[in-house]
Amino acid sequence: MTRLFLSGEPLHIQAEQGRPTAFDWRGEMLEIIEINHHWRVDLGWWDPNVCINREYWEVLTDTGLLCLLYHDLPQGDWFLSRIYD
Amino acid sequence: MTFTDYAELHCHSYYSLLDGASSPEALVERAAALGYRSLALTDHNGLYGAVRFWTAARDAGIRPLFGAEVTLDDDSHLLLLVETQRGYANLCRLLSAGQLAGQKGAPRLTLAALAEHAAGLICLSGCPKGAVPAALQRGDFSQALAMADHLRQIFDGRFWIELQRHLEPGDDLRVAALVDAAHRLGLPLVATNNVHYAERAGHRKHDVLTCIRQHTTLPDALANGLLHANTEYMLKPASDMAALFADYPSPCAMPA
Repeated sequence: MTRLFLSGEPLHIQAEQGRPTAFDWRGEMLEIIEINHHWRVDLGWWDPNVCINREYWEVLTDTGLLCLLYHDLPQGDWFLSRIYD
Repeated sequence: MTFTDYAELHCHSYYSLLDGASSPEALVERAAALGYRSLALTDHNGLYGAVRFWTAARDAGIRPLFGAEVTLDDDSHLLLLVETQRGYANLCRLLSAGQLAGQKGAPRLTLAALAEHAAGLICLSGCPKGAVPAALQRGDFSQALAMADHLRQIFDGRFWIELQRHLEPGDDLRVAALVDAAHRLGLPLVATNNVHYAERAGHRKHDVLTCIRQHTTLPDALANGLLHANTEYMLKPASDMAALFADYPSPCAMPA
């Protein structure tokens, strides 16, 4: 089952050189032990309503949680997009 | 991989009509700023930018490498790079043969013609539209191996498996499959960035050119997946290219 957060769940994250290393999920600091995939989406520059500029990171935490994070590059904020249960 | 003397070997100027977004001079200027010692110009099915490229490269102190991305009669792409004077003559013959065999704007080169004029040319497996990566994308590993083996025979030690990573979904799987195929056939690997604009800002022009080529609008092109998913198709510093391929520390000589 997958839990999808359509508008993104804001995250406090620790990162080194742009790569996420840990994040706070509901009061618990989860360490990222593996980055499975990493991709970037930069589309829709002609329309502020559709413009997206994000880096996505599919990561595995030390608690065994597989999830998808994204970094909103213009704002600098991080979000949880999906949890693969 | 070894990136100390990275040379971009897959680079389109605006002589890749309605695809490349930068002039040969802008590409050379950016390459010089990045400290490149060599740069290839590999426009689609033509050498239209060769003279301007050579002149700009000479003035900038960069070694120009000539080539082209050719379209085969199955619509797949291959990258050809000139190694010798005979190779340049052969590339010209191949480009003419492809244009004569196809229609205006849609050249078609046969593998038989390629085999006849392969001397002096280096072949790279090309972008995701290349026959080898496209077969892997379809999950047809045996077809990919057969095609790679055929090209290895045609180019007799001068066929390289080309790896591209633009931080797009699917990159990792395609690259892993290409590396696997290369290892099975004992083929060397080479990284390129399939450059379509000198600097990131050029992606907007590239999107508009894509729309003109496809006779559509930006929103429709986005909805139909016709645009690149991001803005990574520019000339990159050698350190960025090394970071992109850090998980493949195999012995790979970059032809500079």
